[in-house]
Amino acid sequence: MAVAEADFRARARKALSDEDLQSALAKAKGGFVDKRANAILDLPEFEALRERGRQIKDHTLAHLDTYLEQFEGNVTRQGGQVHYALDAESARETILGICRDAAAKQVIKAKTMAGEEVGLNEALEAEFETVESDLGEYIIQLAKEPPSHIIAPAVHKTRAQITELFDHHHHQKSGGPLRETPDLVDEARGVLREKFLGADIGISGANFLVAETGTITLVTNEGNADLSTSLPRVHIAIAGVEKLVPSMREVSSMLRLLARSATGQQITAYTTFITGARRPEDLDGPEELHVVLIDNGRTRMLGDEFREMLRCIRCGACMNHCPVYSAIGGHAYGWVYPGPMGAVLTPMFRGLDSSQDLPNACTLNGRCQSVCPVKIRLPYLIRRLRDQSFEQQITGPFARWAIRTWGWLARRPALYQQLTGLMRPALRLFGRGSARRVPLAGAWTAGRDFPLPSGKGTFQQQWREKRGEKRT
Amino acid sequence: MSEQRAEILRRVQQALGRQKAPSVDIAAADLETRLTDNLPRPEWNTDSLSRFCERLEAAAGSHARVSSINEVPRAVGDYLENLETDGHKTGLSPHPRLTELDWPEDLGIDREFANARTWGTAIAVGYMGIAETGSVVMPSGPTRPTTLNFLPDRHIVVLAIEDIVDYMESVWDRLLAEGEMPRTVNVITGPSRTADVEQTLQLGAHGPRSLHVILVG
Amino acid sequence: MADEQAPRPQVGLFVTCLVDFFRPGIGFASVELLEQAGCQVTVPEAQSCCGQPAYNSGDLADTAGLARQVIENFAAFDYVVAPSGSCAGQIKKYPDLFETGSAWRRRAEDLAGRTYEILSFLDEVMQIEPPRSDFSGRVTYHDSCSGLRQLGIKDQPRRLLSGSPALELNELSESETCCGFGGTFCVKYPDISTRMVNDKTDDILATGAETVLGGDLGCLMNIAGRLKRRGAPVKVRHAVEVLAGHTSEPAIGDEEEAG
Ligand code: SF4
Repeated sequence: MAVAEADFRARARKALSDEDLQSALAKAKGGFVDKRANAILDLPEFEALRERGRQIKDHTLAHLDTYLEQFEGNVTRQGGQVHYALDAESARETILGICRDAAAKQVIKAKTMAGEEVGLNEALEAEFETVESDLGEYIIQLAKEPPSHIIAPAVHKTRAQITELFDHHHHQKSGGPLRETPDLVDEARGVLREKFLGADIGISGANFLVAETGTITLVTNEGNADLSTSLPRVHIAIAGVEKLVPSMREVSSMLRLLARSATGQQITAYTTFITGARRPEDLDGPEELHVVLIDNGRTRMLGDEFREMLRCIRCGACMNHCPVYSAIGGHAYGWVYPGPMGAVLTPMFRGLDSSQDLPNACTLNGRCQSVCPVKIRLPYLIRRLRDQSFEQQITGPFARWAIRTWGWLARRPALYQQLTGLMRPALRLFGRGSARRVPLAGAWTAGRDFPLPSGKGTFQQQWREKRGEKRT
Repeated sequence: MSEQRAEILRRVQQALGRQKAPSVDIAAADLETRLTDNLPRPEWNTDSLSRFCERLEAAAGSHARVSSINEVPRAVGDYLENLETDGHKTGLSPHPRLTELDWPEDLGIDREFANARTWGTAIAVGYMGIAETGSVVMPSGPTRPTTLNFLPDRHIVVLAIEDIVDYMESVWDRLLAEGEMPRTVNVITGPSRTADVEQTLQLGAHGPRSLHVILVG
Repeated sequence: MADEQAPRPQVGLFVTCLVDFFRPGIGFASVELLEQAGCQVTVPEAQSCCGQPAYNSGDLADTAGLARQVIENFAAFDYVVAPSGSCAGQIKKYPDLFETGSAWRRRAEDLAGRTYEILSFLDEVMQIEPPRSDFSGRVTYHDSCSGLRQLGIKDQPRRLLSGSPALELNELSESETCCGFGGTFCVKYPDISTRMVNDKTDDILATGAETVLGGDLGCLMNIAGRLKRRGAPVKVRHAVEVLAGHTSEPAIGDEEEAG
């Protein structure tokens, strides 16, 4: 289901002219921003909370070995098992192995970005009846598309498109009238309820892992993760190693940040803490609990200047406030992580040479950093990727030549000023005030007129003249 | 598998520049030196019960108040009276505080947890309430099966007012003082909801369509 | 005006390459405002650009070369002032280009500490009274991102503009959203950039403003170019033009009077 990574530009262009997508994005955009803003108005301590979130995550990352061992010890003590996977393939193999050992037929999934990251769905679907239970994930599973947002995976779909998908998959018909939201939600509830009851395996992600107690934390609003992790015989949770936090006290702080940043809620409807497998006296719950911890490039980031990216709690605020994301949507980014966080993570996980557009397609306007609940310096990291691109000659030869030539010239102010002084009158031949077209400025004039230089010369030329006048 | 475990730990330690993990105590001490602010949390100027009710309502939950546990059956009857139950049964979570009560015949109460999948309404006992967010806390165990919090259309939670604390942290303090973390703790704030269709909020996605808290005390 | 006894602050004007080339009037308005505020203004001849195009393209070597040049040529001033939040912001990033503890790093830090964007300099450092002006009309204000988020410039221009009683300020509904300029971004990804500036101009038109003001020529050219392409008659100016009373000059992208 992965979208090809190459050719970001083509995908962006397509997205810009896709009317359904644009109308879906327009509906979503303001909502996310306003809800977050309102939630923060209600909490004057939010800035202090962000600082605390940063401190907690920095501390945890600096003690990741300690907390991994503590977490594993506690999960095991409570009857669960912890597995480790170095890369995507071993993550898939580990999970498939658990499903096979359980002689599973049906798998029910709650949303997991780590699962998306390792391509879990395709692997599962080849062997088991696999159903996504988060409504957004279910919609895009029917559409056979990857998610376009990390917390609202079907944000790019309009109600008309969802109606069409449900009509087709649930009733084998098409062209029916547009259906209302309650009707659609109810229908999915009915279809999926059967799936929950029939599944042998429930797979979830984890929003946080608590070392002190061996606890997995899951936040949802639908309750799908809870049904997925309490009805089937086996529960598998997949998470990156960076999801750890030290204790229940710290997870409480992180939850305050996450809900407000993601959906503007003070807390999600369901915040769930799972510790180990079913206890002998319990009346329900899975007999087996497996936690699959993945590396997949994370330990490399831990050792370099990108460590702070591992603070990310996958709230989606950066993309909700990103003007590029809101113009082109998530699919244009080409992989499971879109927006500013994706512009850093995709090159980290998949290599910069196949994703060099992502850190470049950014105006470095900094709004993402100003909303990030764990204060990740996203623009800084994005710019550092450009440095790497330039250094490793991933930046194309023409672009490198152009920027170096310009740099050479700019470091010779006298020559620079002579040249710019000559260019001004030349440019002024193209019109008055502004021009619709100017040679070599096609990228600018595609959507804008070109404001021509005004006045009688460059500032420096005029200043020299004036100063000359003053002196005499 | 254990090779991958060793390799991941090796890489983590290489990245952190050491060969042995610091003890949990050393880590805990480091955390305390890093945290600069007092725990930043929301504050409010009403009492805990009012805050709880206000947040619960904001999350689309409802509440009623009775002065003693014996009045709970009547409060349940009042609540269900005006609701469309489609003939679905109302079931009791196997909690002694509920099962020992006198339930009037006409409520048709089912006490068999094995039938839970057919219940339209489930009544359970809340372990604690959190004023900050208007949440009820439901730890799993023989008196509080997890699935009951999610399967029925209507969820009724009986909660002693004295069990309402201000913040989530106090829940962990009490739970851990009593023993280990149970298999599951559900912190529930209002009914199930989704905004996955055009970001329009819709209640009753997979879990209960309504949450009603009967406050006792 | 200035107190004869107190030495006048020595200000080096960093003109910026865009102002030098495209709109010298912003430079002259800046000099005037600084002099009115009591500063002694010098414009070093040896200057070109702050290095943002290289820096944001990952060319650190050329950026450091330019930085050294700016550090040298602006060493003698009490303050360095630029009529652009993003260029002043770039100069403030110079220390990162040099190794901790090195002499260049120290000099870069010293320069960064003395560098200001003009509107915040006038308001916060010189603490001038809002200049009286008879500019009249409905305006809206575009907060450029570097100024807004890196330098915290938001209230300063509004305070300064409050000296024009006939100026009516209608705020944008999304005043903190980027206009899509982004330096080289606007020519590397013209489709996305055009879409962003189109949204911005929608917002501008919705305010009913006759003039858009801002503090960064790059963004203003982007906005003016899009407004022109859309055939919208809204004028675009740098805030210093209004503050210095230089509004008889045609607005950005507008035709000059014949003659
Ligand atoms: S980078 Fe920050 S804002 Fe973006 S998803 Fe991660 S935590 Fe949220």
